[in-house]
Amino acid sequence: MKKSIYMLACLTVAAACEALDQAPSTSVTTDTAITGVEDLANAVNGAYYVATYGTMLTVASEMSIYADLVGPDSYQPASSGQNASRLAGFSMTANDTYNAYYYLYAAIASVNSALEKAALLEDQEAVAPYVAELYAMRGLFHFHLATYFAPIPTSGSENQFGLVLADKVFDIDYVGKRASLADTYAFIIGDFTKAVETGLNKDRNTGHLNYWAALALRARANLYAGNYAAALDDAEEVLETSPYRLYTIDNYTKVWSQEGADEVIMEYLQTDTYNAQRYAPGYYASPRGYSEYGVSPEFYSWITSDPSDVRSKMVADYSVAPGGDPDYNAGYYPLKFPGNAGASVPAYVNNIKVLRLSEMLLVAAEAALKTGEDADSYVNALRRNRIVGYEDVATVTLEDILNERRKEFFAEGQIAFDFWRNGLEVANGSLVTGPQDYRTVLPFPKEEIDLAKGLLMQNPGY
Amino acid sequence: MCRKIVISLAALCGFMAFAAAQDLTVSGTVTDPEGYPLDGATIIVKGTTTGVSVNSDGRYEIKVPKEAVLIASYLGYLPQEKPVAGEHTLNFILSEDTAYLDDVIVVAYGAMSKQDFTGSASQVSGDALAQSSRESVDKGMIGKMSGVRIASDNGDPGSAGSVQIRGVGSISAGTSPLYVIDGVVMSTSTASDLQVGYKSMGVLNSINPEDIESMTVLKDAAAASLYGSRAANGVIIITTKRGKQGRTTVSYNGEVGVSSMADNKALRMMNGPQFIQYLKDAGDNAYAINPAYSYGFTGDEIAAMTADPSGETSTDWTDQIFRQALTHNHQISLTAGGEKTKVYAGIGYDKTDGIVLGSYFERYSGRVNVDHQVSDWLKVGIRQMVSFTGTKGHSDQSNQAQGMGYATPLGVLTQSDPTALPKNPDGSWNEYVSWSGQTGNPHLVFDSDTEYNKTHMMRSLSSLDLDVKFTDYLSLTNTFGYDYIDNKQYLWWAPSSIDGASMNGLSASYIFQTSDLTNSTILRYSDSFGAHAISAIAGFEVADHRTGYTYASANNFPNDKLNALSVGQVDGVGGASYRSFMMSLLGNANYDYDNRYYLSASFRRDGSSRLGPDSRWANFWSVSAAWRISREAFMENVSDLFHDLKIKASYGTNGNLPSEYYAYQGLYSASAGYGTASGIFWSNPENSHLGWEKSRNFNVGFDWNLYNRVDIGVEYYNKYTSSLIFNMPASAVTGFSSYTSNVGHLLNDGVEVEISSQNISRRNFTWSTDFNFTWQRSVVKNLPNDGADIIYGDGGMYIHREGESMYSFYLPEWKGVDAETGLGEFWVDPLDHSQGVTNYYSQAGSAIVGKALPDFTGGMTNTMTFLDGLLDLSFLISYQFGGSLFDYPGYFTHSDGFRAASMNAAADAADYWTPQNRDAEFPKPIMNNPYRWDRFSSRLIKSTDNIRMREITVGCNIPVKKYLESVRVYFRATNPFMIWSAVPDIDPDVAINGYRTADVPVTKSFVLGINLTL
Repeated sequence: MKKSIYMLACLTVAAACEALDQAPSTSVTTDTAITGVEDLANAVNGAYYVATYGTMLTVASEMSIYADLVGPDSYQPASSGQNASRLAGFSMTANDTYNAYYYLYAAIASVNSALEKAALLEDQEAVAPYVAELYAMRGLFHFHLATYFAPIPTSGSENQFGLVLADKVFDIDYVGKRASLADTYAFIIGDFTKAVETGLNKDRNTGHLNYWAALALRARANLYAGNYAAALDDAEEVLETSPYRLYTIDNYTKVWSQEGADEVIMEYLQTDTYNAQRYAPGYYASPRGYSEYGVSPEFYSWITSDPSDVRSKMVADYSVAPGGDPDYNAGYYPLKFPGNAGASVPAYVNNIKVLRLSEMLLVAAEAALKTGEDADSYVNALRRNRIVGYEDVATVTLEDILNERRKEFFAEGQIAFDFWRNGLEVANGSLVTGPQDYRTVLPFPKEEIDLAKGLLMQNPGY
Repeated sequence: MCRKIVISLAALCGFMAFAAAQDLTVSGTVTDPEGYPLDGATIIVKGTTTGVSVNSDGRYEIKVPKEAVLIASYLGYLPQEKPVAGEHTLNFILSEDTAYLDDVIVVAYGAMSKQDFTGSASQVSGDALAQSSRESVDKGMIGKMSGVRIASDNGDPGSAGSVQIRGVGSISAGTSPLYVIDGVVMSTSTASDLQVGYKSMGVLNSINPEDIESMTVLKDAAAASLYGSRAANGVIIITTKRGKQGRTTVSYNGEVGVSSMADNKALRMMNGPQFIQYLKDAGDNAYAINPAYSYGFTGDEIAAMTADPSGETSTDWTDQIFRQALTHNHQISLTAGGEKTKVYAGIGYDKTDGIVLGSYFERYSGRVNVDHQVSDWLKVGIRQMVSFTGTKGHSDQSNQAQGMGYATPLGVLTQSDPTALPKNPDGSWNEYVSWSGQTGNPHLVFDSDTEYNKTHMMRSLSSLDLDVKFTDYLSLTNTFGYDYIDNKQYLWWAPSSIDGASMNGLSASYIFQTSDLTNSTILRYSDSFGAHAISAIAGFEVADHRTGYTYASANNFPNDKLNALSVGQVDGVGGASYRSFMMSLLGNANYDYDNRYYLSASFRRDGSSRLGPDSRWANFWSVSAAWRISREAFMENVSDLFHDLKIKASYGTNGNLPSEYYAYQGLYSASAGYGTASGIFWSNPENSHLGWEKSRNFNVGFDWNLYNRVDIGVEYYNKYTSSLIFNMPASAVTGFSSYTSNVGHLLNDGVEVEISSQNISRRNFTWSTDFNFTWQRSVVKNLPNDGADIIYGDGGMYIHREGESMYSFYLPEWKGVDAETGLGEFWVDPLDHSQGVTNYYSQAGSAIVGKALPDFTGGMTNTMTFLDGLLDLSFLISYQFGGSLFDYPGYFTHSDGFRAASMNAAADAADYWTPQNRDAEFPKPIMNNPYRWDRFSSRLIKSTDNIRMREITVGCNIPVKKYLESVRVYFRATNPFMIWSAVPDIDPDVAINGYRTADVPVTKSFVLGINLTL
């Protein structure tokens, strides 16, 4: 009797002690998270999720149109007091929370953690494609950060600071220094090279960075870094051998709601569940939304002056409110955010187009021009697919290429970078920013500077 | 002596007035149970003011009618009634009123005589709580106890108040005390476990204050360390009402009242003509710098965009949004008891409308407490409470983050165009009153069913006490408690609403459930040998806390009419659950010698699932001692002055756990996806060393009773918290912005004084005063990274700096307006004014410009009764000095034109600089102001020093003879007026950290009530 009571007591205590080990319902412990290839595939998705997390100032919200907001054709039909108009007005300070900074580094941390764990898995052959993608992701996430928080190497800026490079898993108390601008771009190009070198992932894979995406991004990075011959080589390879096809005059106006459209090499997926809601570019570019991203009247007149160019149909004249509705913010708007097909709230759910095939034509054109080769064929190839009855031109200038970019890539987050990296000023209304202007580079978050106690240099001017 | 004369005089007067109608002489003695005469006791004829006082032999003599009833009373003794019934001799033996002299105080795992208590605690009666607030227990504590600070910055009924005992216990972990109700630890669930934070919600509101018998606040280690790891922030023990032997009462209490904004100037905006002039000036000033700032428009052109540029229309939107709100409350209770069974049962209803259109709080609650003596050796107590709480309200800024919701009261108020009329000529509400174009007419936003946030909370609290008596010295108590909360939250943004338009409507339903199961088994021993008394307890406790939620939301609704989820299309679903478990061993021993020397010690060992296997167990302990000097022989000569005098001291440790459930584990979150595929990501770095936050508490003080009339308690405490659970900022490059670690030290110390005095106690006039005073400070003593400052909070406005107070504001210093240029100026370096001034916010350096915590706080209650208790009056005054608030609404309403394109400005902001008004308080307004004078600076820091009338109650006890035992009618005013405040027109009642949100400002209320007892 006594013995059984004793045993019962022991059991009760043992059961209770076990209850002191509790596990969360939505997480698994780090050491059990990635034990097979399927887990690794999920970890790849998870890093995209973190990078595009649904909130303000991320690569899926305002930052995806940052270069348009500060670009030459920017215009704010309304000021709703949101971040797009603050970005456009260069009124952001180091006190603002640049979620892009936090979420991109968080995504990179997940990438590095997944890379560590991938090396421990048994079936390395099955693991290799994911590892290639993870390197490409790390390159792209650093590339985003570099365009926001560091000058572009070819811009002629005196500021030669790049990023803190996250090339591995760090201890939690790690504080890093900024690498030089040259090292930063070398690192980015190096990560794309790691992905490309494997030769894996050559199939289309919507929403993911495959071989072609890594190659095309390396072309872009080389162009930004001034490696024009390398940029031309990479762009040529994508143009010649990738499975992507240029949009045509016939389908150009219809592709923007499609997922995996002909030309799109990389897009961030947005769904009814995962999107940036009111911070999505579509809501900013809606006359019934925040209406802080429109195109300038001058741009509207310019792009619509040639009706034979199909791109003239990608802007709208909403300058008169229907029925005098005071909730309607009249102005000129881009039409590149119609909503993914089937989206329940179209203004929230537009895949973020990161990279399209036609960019490779313009990268090649610009690189060719800089290396003294013929650039006209690339520009002609693009225009033939955009302008009804187009006749080839024999020569193109840098100005022609940049104007072509304004027409082709407005609302896709590139324009201001294109001007600045060529050492050119951007005139956004009365706000003129030259490539030397401190405002062309965003400040590092103040918390990050404070924490580093002098180890981390703030961008000058902030 | 003085009192004796007073009573004698009163009795004499009564005697003379009554002299005509005597027909019987009664005489006798009044003694205590041991036969000692009670010199100065009074004999009163019931229902009259006639009476005599007893002489030094304890004898009295009085002439009365034959049917009279005599009442004998003596301070500190229970009064006794006897009918004359023709008798000539009536002797009274009065027993001591234990509640008076020998107050029982509820302590951890039991109760003890107040005179034997060596720790520090304050007790307040349930009546005193309920008198202040029928809505919430915490709001009823304001001003009544030393060392206890209640912050309630939100006048929204049902919103959360926060309670802090003896300063700020932690930086990153919880700072709210542990609540224990009838021996059972209540759910530690916070509002974040039970709702999505669109608005503030208090979990404590589910408890009906009228069911409460008493509330005890345990402050020092001696009192609280039996609760070990959860006691660092103090413990509040609530005891509910019990049945009483031999007496059955049924009582009804009803109240009706109105409430409104306490300071009705607090949120005044510019009127129409002021706003038009402001727009003209802001527009022109902006145009002059760069036309882009005013969107290419001149001031006149911008002013012409208002609803009525003529300046002849002026709408005060404050009056449209805020109202006089109705409250009413009904409560019926029964107390009954026989020799073996005692019952208390109560049922209550409270409905408090909010002062913002369309908001309310409602509670139905019921409680049954049964105590039964089954046999000589077994006693059973069963208690059950169920309450249903409903609220409807609107989103607010309680998250204390930058930005202002469009559909919040402040959002609508600031964005409404004062030149627009609320109604159209046809009497319908005018839809287009928003100057920003982003909000709507408050009547349509708040008072329609197109946009709201409703909660329905059900709470059940069950407990069972089993007391087994083995011998006179040894007993065992098992207490089982189950606290279950189910909160359903409904969010509805109709397709036509501000927030719902972009999604064609959004309806969301959330179900939050938490349960706390506690079981404790305590063995008790007590014995005495001659003058030695010993008592001890030993016990074992487990606590199982579970919480979780499920939600579903739908969008794309056909119209505003229906909001059931099935009407819309699926938007999102979610759910998760959390659990924590704790096991504890505990023990306590008390020894006293001759009620003179006391020693006490306690110990508790806790293990928690919130910490890793290597650090989850920890020990907590305390030792304390007291010396009742008044019991010493050498004090006999001064035993009147030192009726009772006790000095006491304690030292011990308490703990605090991380708020997160799984903070020590390295985790990958699976609540992610990309496209339609699943995703996992690294969500938490491993932190297996994470341990307890520990505080060392020292307390010393004395309790002194003078002349059996005045009680003075004075204490000094020093609470040093080390290994703080601290959210250490991490570099984003690691993938995380912060991590939890045990670093940093915090010191809280202070002096507390409580005085209770029976100033006058005549029969037809009594006056007593309760006064409390607290001086306290919370100082950051040690920070990680070699003491580097830590900047935190909204926009980095707070700083942790070694040697500085908690909640110090770290901001640029505003100098004022340059009278020549009209531009605002900041000091470049607030600590070195020689560096001059700047017009640009971005060039201004920061410094500590104030702190939220006051140095001195306290309150004073005066209670008077007149005409033999026929009328009574009490009033409570509270005060605080030395703290400041951060005026977040002021950031929007004093933007110097920056927000002129979307918002109106405060009425007092009209005093801005113009060439004609050079000594204005505010700089010249500039639309999209590039200087950003409006940004967070010392300009928004305002003193909270104030003396406030908290409460006035006037009551009348109507004499009744038949059917009813008593009838009381009363009038109560809460926050009726400010006696003095350093900064007028900003309500100084703000959150503990000084952050003023004021969506629903603090309210004042006037209530009429009646108590009927059968």
